[in-house]
Amino acid sequence: MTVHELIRKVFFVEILKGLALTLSRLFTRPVTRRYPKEKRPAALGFRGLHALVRNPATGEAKCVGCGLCAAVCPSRCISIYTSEGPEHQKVVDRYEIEVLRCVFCSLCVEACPFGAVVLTPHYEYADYTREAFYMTKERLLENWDRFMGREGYEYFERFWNPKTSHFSTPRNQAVFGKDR
Amino acid sequence: MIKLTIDGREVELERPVTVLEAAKRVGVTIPTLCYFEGLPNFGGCRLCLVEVERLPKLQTSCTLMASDGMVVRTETEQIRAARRAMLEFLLINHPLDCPYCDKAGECTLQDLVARYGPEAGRFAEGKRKHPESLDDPIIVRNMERCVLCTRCVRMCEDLQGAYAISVSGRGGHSLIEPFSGGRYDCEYCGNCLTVCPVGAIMSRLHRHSYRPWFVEREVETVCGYCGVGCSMVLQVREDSIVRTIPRFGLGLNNGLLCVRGRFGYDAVDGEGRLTTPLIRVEGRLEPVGWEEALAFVASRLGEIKDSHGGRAVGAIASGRCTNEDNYMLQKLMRFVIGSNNIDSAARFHYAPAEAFLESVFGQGITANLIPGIADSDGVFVTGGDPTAINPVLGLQVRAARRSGGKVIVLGPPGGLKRFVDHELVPMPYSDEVVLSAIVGGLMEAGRSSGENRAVEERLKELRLPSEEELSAAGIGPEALARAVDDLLKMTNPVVILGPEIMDGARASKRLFLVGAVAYLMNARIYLLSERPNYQGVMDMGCVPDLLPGGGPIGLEMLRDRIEAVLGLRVPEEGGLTLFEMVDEAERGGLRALYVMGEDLLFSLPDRARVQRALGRLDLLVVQDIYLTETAAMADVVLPAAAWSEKDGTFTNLERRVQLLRRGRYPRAGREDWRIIADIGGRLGMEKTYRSAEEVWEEVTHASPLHAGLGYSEIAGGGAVWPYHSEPLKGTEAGFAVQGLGELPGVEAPGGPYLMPERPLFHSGTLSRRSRALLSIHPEPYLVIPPSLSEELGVTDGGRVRVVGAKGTMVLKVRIDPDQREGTVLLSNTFEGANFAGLVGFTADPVTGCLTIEDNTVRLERVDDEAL
Amino acid sequence: MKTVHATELMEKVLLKNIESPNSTHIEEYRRVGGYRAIEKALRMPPQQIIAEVKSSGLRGRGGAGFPTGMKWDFASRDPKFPKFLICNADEGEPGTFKDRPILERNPHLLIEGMVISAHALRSERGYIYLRGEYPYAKVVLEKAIEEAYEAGFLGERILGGDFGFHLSVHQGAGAYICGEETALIESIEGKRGQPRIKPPFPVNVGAWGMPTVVNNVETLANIPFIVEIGGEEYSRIGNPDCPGPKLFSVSCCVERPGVYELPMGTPLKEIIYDHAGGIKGGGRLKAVIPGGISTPVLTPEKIDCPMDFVSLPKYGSMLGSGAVMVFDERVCMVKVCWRAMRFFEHESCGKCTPCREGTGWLRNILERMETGNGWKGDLELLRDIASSMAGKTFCPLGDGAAGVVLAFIKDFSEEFEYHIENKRCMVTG
Repeated sequence: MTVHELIRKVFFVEILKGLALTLSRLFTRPVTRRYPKEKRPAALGFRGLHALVRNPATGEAKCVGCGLCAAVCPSRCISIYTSEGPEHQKVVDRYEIEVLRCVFCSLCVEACPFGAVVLTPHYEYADYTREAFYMTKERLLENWDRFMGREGYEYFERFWNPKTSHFSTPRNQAVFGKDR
Repeated sequence: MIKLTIDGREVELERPVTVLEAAKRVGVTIPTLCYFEGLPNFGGCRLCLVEVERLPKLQTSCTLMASDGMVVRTETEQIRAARRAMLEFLLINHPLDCPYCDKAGECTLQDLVARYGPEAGRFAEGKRKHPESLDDPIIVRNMERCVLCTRCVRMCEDLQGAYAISVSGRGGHSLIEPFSGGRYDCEYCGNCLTVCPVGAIMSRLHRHSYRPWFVEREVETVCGYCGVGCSMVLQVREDSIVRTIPRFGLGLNNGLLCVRGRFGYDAVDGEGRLTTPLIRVEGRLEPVGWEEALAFVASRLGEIKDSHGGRAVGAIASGRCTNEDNYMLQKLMRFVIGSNNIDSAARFHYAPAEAFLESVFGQGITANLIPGIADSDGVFVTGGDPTAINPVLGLQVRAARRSGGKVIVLGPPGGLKRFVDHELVPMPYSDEVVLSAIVGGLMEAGRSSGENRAVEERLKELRLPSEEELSAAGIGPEALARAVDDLLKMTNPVVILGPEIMDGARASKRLFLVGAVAYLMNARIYLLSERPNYQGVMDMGCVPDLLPGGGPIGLEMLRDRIEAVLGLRVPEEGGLTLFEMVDEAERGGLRALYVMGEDLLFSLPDRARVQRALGRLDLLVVQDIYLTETAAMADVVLPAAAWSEKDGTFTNLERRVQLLRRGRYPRAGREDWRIIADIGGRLGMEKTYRSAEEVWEEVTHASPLHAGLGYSEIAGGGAVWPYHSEPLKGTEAGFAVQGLGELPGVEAPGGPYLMPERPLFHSGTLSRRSRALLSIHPEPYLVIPPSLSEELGVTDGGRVRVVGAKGTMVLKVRIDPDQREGTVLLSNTFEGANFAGLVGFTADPVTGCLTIEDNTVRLERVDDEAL
Repeated sequence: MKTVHATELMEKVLLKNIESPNSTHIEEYRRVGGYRAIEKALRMPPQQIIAEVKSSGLRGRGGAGFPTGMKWDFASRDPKFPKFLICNADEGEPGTFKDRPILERNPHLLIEGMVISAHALRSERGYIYLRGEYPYAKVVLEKAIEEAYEAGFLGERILGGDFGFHLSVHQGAGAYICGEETALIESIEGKRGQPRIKPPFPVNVGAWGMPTVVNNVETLANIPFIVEIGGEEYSRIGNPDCPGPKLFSVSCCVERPGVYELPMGTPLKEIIYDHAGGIKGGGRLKAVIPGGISTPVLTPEKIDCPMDFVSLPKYGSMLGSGAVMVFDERVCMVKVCWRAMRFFEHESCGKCTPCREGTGWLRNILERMETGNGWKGDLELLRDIASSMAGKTFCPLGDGAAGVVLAFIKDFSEEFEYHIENKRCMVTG
């Protein structure tokens, strides 16, 4: 053991060095977040909880019940029940997503010809019961209002919208449904 | 031999066919819209274009006949471009409403566009618009989607023969329309729906209710409405039947269905479907549990058997139930209760007619294949309209006519109106005069082979009508001579026999004469059957005098055989027929009646008497799917599973055994055989069954006819009579015919004759539970000839009071210019307005069939204010 | 001023004596030598008449130019009887009115021709399928048929021999497609006028499944003359490849529109400038449609072409029905094309996809151009649509429509482009 080594040992130099780093970190920004208090914003394209888009003109769901989302869904978690309405139009009676089975592939969003179903940036939906994950049409529309309608609209516009939200039938073409 | 090359593949053809068909044989599919197998070629859609070497232009393969040395290419860049162009043409006026259109997913146009493009349209001008037509209760027409392939029109004209729709307008303004422009008022076979490649003609029953890819299961089964036994496919989503469709290449109907089969599937979902067993407590039917109900039935049956003997118990089997159900009921009666009192509504017409014809000509005389009718060169129809009773069989008659066969109809032709060469409509109840004259004409031409001595002996006794007698019966001698001439020219004829041949006195004579016509012409006989399983009811031994397999109960050999198989005794004492059971009940001799799937009170005439008879029973058990009039009188009501809710087999009128498969689980009822087996178990029957197939397994041992015929073989479609064993031959029993030597005079009745109508849109009481069928034919009406309407001063839709011997009803009138003078018609479908409620009956002394009595009625006009 | 041509010296055959006020009467017709050919023909065996017609080189005047003798030969070889003879008088092509003088002024010539043809074909039943828009011709024809029956040229035992022939007029309901022979047969049978799948051809399986010959009015009107002078002699008239007199109906911008009977092969220029009196008002020729609206248009440099079935295809058009439509420089070609397409759209029967949808689409685009709403790329689109239709339609109607558009946009593309770019017409402003 040399003198140099002895001095380092007696005066705990190594430890002080380490403590100096620790001390210095006290004055830098932390890299972790204090999650429940501090929420991380979802990145563009994040696939969170499902929502059904409200048609701003009517306030109803844009969905017409074509069933393409159910057809394309790899985990078969979408069920749609339609019937004939009083004016012989197609009415979506039930639109259900079983979120527990969903794999968040977003193929349903891509398949939808009307841009009527989206994945919101909302991810905080853990719950204690399974029932909470069975999304009915009403709950899916509520999701839209809560997570997309106002503050999320930009997210919707910028990420999901470009593909399909402007889908509409040209004025001079045959139209269908209620608009006839 | 024609040799050609298609896409590099060599094709050899025996006879010339189109290039499209030749390509199909070597597995080359050419896309088409207007072509449809079985329909005449059209050549309009221009999608099946192919390149043929040495021909300058692209050719349509559906119209081009294959010739020797042709070299054909079906997929080249030029062809793909042409197809893309044709599809673009189709799409310029086709609304792109696939998300909304029910056809999406099974739409040919959609598939073709996905395959050949174009990706984007270049048509910027306004599309042709035409509002969707919802004028019809069943069929919705959307002419914006129509691609004018005219498959529907060709189907309607060339296969169905209804001539109900046509193309109207010209060019781009062409529309497919029924002639009224709104409602179809057609036969509603719906075969146009099957062939429509796009969503232009669709059923309203399942409109907007599901998408084709939501269908979870497809079940191949057999229709439960009539004795033809058409194969159909039930499409099931989440244990409910979303629709029934036929399938080309499947079953004897080969893609065709009639209105009842296609649209009547919702009859099992009508209002008032029984959900729980009911027991009468203090005069009211109260819901009880299954255990209680079964135990009650078993104990009561046991008590009655013990106190009065087996012969005090009777059972009514059902032509709507499967062979397994009927076999089990027969087993319960014969081998557990010890009574031969088992019969069914087949007793009305079908069973006696078949028994009589078999006694004359031998077993299996009526077992002929339905598709063979179309190949025959002559058809003789009598006793009812096959296009209404057995519609798909009726189509075969039309097909025979279309391919050049002669059709001769004795009686009102109904749906064969446009397909008749000789329409012989005699005065009511004078058929035997005309039949005698026809037989006389055939004999005169030397048409007796001497093969059947007994028949020829009896024919010598026949008194032939003079020309005056024939004219008095309403048929001109020349018209008859012409008809007989054509009968004599037939080389491969068919005789079709409906239930009405049995109506009136001396049924045996008319049956014998029709049989004689068939015998003299060497024709095949078809016996029309109103229920899907009348034949099966008889084959399963649900007849007092026959054992399962159709063997007479008196034959010791057969008795020994079945007793050995089952280890149980066949009761010695002879059984009662349906009519005898009613008599016996009225007298008090019959104490208990077990009714399975039959509404006796409704289908038997003379309601008061039947009500009285049933009221005197100690125990009336009714097993049904609805609370019928009979069930409302019952002591115990047991809910059963309906046609689409159970497995089993039906035997159709050509004696083809066909498999019925469960489409969905019954909502509340149980399979009929299971209920009966449970009761049997409580009465000491040892054997238990887990499935219908196990019951059938026992049938194949008990019935010599069905020996070795398993479900797998039946499913293959090969269960055609005579199955594996030889049929019983010989007619030692002999036969009796009433009144051969006499001819009835035409007597003037006191009023018009009321006759049963057998409508196309309804079938007994089951069909009135179907919303779809009700929307076509919603209410009862009395069909009267125009002369009578003038006499009464009523117009179409006016009301008359019908006063019959056994009842009085106020009915709406429908004036039919084709209705036979001196007769009025009423169907036996609607509650409170049925044929049977107005007339009396007796059993025919020779054949034992139902003979309607006292059916002259008095009509009075009812003014609406009086109501 | 008027130059005299050799052709004018030719005796008129088809329009003989039509100036006579009584030309429709049988006496007048017989006075100038009518019904003489019947007597000669009835003495000839049927095969010999067919041989004469074959040697005459007569080709069908309806538009396709199929050799008449060959058609008759096919039909007479078919063993099935009865055979039907149908005269196609459904002259619906815009610009065509050549049969009208025969039907309205010389009906007995047609009847005589039909009786002789029926004898040659051993047909006992004939129909004249008359255009719905010729009500006056119906009156004339029915009167003439009645006269012919009375005179014994129609009915059982014609001229005392054992040949009988019955003839009647069946008036169409105004559908252009019924000028197509199979559609015409469907119409006579009482069905919707739509063409049938060919083969089998009507000569084997025609009306009610029986051998049927359908000939144009003008074709049948040539028959008496052929019988009279013999096939060899006839074949010397006009172009030896397709000989005979031909009726040309000249219309639009000419001084003297009308029907001219001239030998086959008369140059188009001669027809326009010598017979029809040249361009109306002395204007400059811009375009000629030589054979009815469904034949492709010709530009002025091509008007030297002889008008017959053989020569016109070399110039990129067809003789068609011989309906010459002359347009001078004041006419807008876009408008002509649009008008033509309106006709085709209206008359498309709707059986096959390209014709039903294509004609309407073409009309839509042309209408837009004409009304100043053309878009860039429309010309390519027109060409694309028309080429998609050409050769893929069920019958020649759609082909004709496509051919018209293709010819117009080939030869007058600058006018179309002008319409698109300037939103107005190059000619009329």
